Amino acid sequence: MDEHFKFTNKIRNILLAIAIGGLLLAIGAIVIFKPGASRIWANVLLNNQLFLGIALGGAFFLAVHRIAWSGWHTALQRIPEALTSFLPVAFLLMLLVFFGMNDLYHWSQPDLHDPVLEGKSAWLNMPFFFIRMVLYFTGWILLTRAMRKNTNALMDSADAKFHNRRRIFSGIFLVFFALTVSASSWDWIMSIDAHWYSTIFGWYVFIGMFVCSLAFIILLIWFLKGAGYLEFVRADHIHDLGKLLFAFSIFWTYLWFSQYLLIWYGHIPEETTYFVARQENFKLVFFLSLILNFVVPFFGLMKLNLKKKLNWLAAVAGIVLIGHWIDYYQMIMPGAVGEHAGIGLLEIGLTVCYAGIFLFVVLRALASKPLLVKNDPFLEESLHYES
Amino acid sequence: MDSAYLLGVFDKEETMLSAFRKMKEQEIEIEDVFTPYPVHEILENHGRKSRITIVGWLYGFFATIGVLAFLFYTAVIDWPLNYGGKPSNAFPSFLVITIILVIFSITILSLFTFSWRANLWPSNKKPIYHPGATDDKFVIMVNKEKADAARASSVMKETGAIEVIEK
Repeated sequence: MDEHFKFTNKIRNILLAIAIGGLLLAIGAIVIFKPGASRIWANVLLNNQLFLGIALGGAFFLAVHRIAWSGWHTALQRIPEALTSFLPVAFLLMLLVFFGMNDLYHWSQPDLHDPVLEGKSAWLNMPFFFIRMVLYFTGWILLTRAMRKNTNALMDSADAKFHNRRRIFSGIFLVFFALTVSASSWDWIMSIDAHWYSTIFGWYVFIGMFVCSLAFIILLIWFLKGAGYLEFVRADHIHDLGKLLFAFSIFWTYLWFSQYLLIWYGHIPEETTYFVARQENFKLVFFLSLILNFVVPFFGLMKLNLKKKLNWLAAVAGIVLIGHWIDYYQMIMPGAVGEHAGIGLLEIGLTVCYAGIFLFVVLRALASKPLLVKNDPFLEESLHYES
Repeated sequence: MDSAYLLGVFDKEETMLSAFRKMKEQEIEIEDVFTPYPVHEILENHGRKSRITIVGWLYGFFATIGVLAFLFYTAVIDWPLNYGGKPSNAFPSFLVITIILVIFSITILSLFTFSWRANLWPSNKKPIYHPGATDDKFVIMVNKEKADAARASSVMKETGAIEVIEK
């Protein structure tokens, strides 16, 4: 009942080495290859978005389950909750984008004389951009902090009020999240191609985030079970996570296709430019993202017993995570970098660095409390859950 | 008329499952189990694995090919029309129709397959062993010729059957 994940010095040192090694690799690539400012900032933005999405997806995972009074997930709820503790770090990393605004977003350059962008300047201007950024992050950080504190309170006290509060926090979070996740994806990703817009873009990015988060939760469970923890997470829980990954990968494809089909069919030049840029210079990543994010999970997780096998599921989750990295890549790079984009040491090094920082923060937060919330009224149900 | 079956009626999944497990343990052969919703343990351990999922997959596979061929035939070979300057073989626009028609085909074909396998067709009256089985009760059925009815009956009563009848 009181099982703790031990954040040993060995794990800490390995993660720090990964983070520093990745950073050195990225810096080395910058010094040697001189990739240009826009490519560096585009990579910072890509990794910010990827790991922010994993953290936010964890909060979303908990909120949707708690608002429905779901029981099955309570045995593994500390894992998505630990993911949310990355949000303050994500805020600091996202603020870095301030120094790369002109390289990333051409609408932020002064003296544009562009009638389309002048028309959008009420939303797309520097002060309001950062006011919104602070607003999104303040809301996310405060709400997830409240959720975490509440869970901690539930570990020490069996008072039902802490349990009932969860639903209230989840409701507030979901409303706030629904509005801000769309708006933040317009701000940070869609506004790279400032002339173009798509009304489904916010949902598309959001589902990508949630799929990443599910994949990451599966990988963390795989890691923790491999290290001898989480005896109580059984094949039935794994099966449900597999079902969620399968279903939301298909839903991601559904949104991808909804966006693509309407633009392809409408054939309006100001809309099709978006896909023309991707299909001409980014053909490989454009189709690779579809294969890794749809074909692999669709066929890989179709059979019932494959969803229950943790090793197999973790392999698929790893592929999906790479697939979503590539998906962000094809969202950000064509607009921000253009023809000079590529996947090299800079991309790999920076992502490895971010992964090290992310795992450091998340695993440390996970280790701070027991892995089970022992006063959760749904715990018994979850421990005996049958999928 | 002699009764051929022994029916144990349960009002909870848990009690029914414990009777089911106990009967499996004592090797009392169970003829059939009626539940208001699918219970995985019964599906897995009753020894009759359903192959409907494999059939469903095959229907889906062939329906996809069939529907795409049909769309290709109508839109490209038989009656090509120029709409919006698109090529006749406008593959992305075929996909939505394909998804809908494949779902439709799988549903209808699986329904017919299931009905055929379960001997359900118009004019074929199936016996209803216990009215509760059509409602919210769990019913375990034992064939008296194949199993020891007295032992089965005592197991059912022990584990909390609300009713044990012969029919």
